[in-house]
Amino acid sequence: MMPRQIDEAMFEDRHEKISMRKIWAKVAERESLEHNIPEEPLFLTLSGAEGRDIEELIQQGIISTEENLAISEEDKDKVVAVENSFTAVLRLQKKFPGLKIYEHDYKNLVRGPGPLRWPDSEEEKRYCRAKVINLDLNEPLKPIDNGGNTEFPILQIVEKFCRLHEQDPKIDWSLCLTLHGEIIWAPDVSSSISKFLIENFKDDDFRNACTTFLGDSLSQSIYDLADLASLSNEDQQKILMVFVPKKLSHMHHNKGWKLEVEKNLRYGGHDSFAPMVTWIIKFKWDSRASSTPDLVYRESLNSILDQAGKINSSGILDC
Amino acid sequence: MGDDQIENNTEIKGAIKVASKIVDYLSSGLYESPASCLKELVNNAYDADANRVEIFIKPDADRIIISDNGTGLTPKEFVRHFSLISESHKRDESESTESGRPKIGKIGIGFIAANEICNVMEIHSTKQGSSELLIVSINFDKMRLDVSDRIDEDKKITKADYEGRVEEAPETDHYTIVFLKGIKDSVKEILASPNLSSPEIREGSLKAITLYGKSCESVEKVLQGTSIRSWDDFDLYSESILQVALNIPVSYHKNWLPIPYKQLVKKFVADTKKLNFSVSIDGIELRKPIVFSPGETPAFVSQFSYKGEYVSANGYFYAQNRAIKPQNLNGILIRIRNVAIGTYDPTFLDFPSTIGSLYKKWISAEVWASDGLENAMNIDRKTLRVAQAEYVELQEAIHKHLKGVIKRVGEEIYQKGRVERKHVNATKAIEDLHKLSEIKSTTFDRSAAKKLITAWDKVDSSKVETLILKKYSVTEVYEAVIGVAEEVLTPGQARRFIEALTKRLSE
Repeated sequence: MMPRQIDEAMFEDRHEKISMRKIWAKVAERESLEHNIPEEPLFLTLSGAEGRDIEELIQQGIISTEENLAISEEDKDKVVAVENSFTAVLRLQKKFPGLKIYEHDYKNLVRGPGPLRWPDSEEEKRYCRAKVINLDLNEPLKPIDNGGNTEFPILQIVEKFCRLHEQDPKIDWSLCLTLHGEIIWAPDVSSSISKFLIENFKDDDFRNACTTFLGDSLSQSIYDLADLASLSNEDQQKILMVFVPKKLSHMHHNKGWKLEVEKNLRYGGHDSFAPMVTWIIKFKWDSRASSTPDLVYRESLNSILDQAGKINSSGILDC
Repeated sequence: MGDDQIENNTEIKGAIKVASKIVDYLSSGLYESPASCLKELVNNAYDADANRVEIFIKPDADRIIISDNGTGLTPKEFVRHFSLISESHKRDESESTESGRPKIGKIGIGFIAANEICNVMEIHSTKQGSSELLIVSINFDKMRLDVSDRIDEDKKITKADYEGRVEEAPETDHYTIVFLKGIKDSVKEILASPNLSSPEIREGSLKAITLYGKSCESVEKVLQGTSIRSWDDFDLYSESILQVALNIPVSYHKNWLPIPYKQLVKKFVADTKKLNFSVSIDGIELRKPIVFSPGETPAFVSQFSYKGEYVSANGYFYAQNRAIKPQNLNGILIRIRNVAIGTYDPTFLDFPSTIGSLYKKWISAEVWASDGLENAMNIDRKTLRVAQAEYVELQEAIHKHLKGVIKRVGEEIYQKGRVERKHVNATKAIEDLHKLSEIKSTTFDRSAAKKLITAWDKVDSSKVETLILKKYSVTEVYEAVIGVAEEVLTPGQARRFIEALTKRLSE
C-alpha cells in the first residue's frame, strides 16, 4: 500500500503540530483528574501511523509503559487509537505494543453522521464516551445537502459523541478538533453560512466580538454574502474559527450541554503547509439548559473568541 | 445370493484408496493450543526467509497480527499454494529456502492452524520486485459445517473460502502481514492475561507472573528464578509465549547456561544464531526459554553425537544436582530442522523407569535430529511414530547415552554432593558448638525437664530428670560433644572438628 498523505504530514512533525500535541496532552492531563470510570477511555484519537499524540501522553506520564515500551497493563484501557489502514495499524502496534486500536474509520465508530444508526457493541459505546476525543482530521469542513438543508457530517458526528456522553452516568468531555482551514463551499452554501452568521450577529456581544476578531473588511464580506471560498487563506481560517464553534454551540445548547471553547486557533498556510484550524472545546453537562437554554447558549457564545489566536511557524501561541 | 455377497472361491483384488475425508479429518483439530497455531504461522514466516517476525496480541487478543519481512506471496502464488491443501509445493524445487534454511513446512497445512483460533484470516502480502499487493481474506466458517455440505463433485472438500483484491505496492517492499480476526472466546481467555489489579491476583488465587512488558534481560532473570516450579506459575499469556519460543528457531538467552559449560554447547548456540531469525510478541523479544541455574551445586554437560543407518543426531545432555526447574525443561527435546517436535519428553523416549528414576529428574537434553527422523513424525508435528525404524534407532542411541549420563550423575554429582553436604553439615556443627561453648553452663527449668522426660519414655525417668536438671560444666559438654562427633563424622572430619573445638575452648 502506498504511503498516505496524512502519515507523511504527521511524520514531518512541524513546530505548530508539536505545540498542539502539548496542548492536547495538557487537556488529557486535566481530564485524567476527573476520569473516574476506568473502563471508559481517557483518550480516543485519530493518531495516524506515527501516534505522535500518544507519544506525547507517554512522555508526559499520562500513559505509563512497561520496560519494553509496551502500554502498561494498568493503562491499557486509557487510550484508544482509531485507524483503518493496515500499514498504519501495524506501525502503531510496533511503536506501542499493547495499544488498543479500533481498526475502522472513525465515522464507523458512531455509524456515520446520520441519526438512525448507532454503535451497537458495548466496546464501541465505551470508546465513544472517552473523556478526550481528538479528531485530528486531514480534511476540510465538507457540507452535504439534505433536502435543501446544509449539513456538516463532521459536526453531526460530534453531536453523536455528545449523545453517547449524555447517557448515564453523564460524562463531561473535551473535544480536540482539527480541520483544514480551506473553505470549499459552493456559492449557495457560502451564502447560507453568511446568512446564519448575520442572523447571529443580532446578539450584540457576539457581533462585537466577531467584528473585533474578523476586522471590518471581512465582517463586511459576510454582510455582502461574498463567496467565502474566494477569500484569502487567513480569512477563510478566521471564518471557520467563528462558524464552527458557533454552529456547535447552536446544535447543543438546548440539549443540555454548555460549551467552553478553550482554544480556537489557526496555523499553517505557509511553506506548502496547508492552512489549518483547531479547537479545544469542553462539553459540560449543564442542568440549567432544560429550563434556561438561552442563558446557557449565551454563556457558550461568550467563550467562542475568548481564546482565539494563531500558532506561528515557530510553534508559539499568539492569542 | 444377495448382491453384497461374493461367491465362494472367487479371487478378490483391488487398491485401497484414501478418501478426501481422511485429509479433511487429518487437517482438522491438529493444534491443541493457541501457541501451537501461532508457532505454525511463525514457522511459515521462517520458511519465507523472514529474519524478523512481530506478533501483536495485546491488549485484549480480539485480533492478532503476525507480521514478517519474508519474501512474500504474489496473488498467483497464493492461489497455487492454497487452492489444494496437501499438494503443497513448498519443497518442490528445493529442500532449502533461498537463504539456505532447511524448510520446515512439508505439506502446507500450517495456515489451517489459524482456523483453530479465529474465524477470519486476512493476508496482506507483497513480493520484492512486484508492484502487486495481495489482500485476501480467508473465511473459516465453511470448516464449521458438516463435511457433507463441503464436498464437491470431484470429492474435494472445501476447508475455507477466500476472496481478495490486488492493490499497488512499492516494488521494493516484501512482507506478509496476517491479521487473525474474530478470535474465539476460549482463545481470548488464554491470550488476554488477567488484569493485574484484579482482587484475585492480589489474593493470590490467580497466577501473577507475567512476561508482558518485560525486556529480554528481565525475561531471562525471571526464568533463572529458582522459585518457578513450572510454566504453570505464569499467566496463560506468558505460558503461551514460552511454548511458542521453545518450538521456533530463535536464539538462546545470553546466560542460559553457566559459563563453565558453555564451551560444550557453543556449536548449537552458533548454529541457531546463524539462522538470523528473531521473533517478538507484543515487544517481548523471544529467546529459547531454556535457562538453567544450578547455583553452587555441581553440574555437567555431556555432548551427544550419533550417526546411524537411518538417522543422525547431535545434542547435549545437561545434568545438575537437583531437579530441573521449571519442570517443563526436564526430559529430552527433539528438534528436526531446528524446530521442536512437541515439548520436553520427561520419559526420555520411554527410557526404562527402573533406571535412575531420581537422576532423570536432574537432566535436560536437546537433540537435533537429521531429516531422516521426519519419516517418523506425525502430521501434528508434535509426536513421533514409535515403531518407525528411524525413531527406534535414535531411541536406542539416546537410551545408551542416557545410561552413561545417569552413571556420571551418580558418580560425579551425587557422590560429590554427598561429600559436600557432609562437609557443610560438619561446618555447621562446628559453628553451633562454638556458639554453645560461649555459654559457660546452662540449666533447664523444671517444666521443660518434665516435658523432655515425658517424651523420652524409654529410659529411667528419675535418672533422666537428675541429668537434665544438673548444671553442666563446659568440660562435660565438651566431652559429650566429642562423643557425638566421633559417632557421626568420618574419622578425618571428627579429628578436624575436635581440633577446632579444642582450640576454640582453649582460647
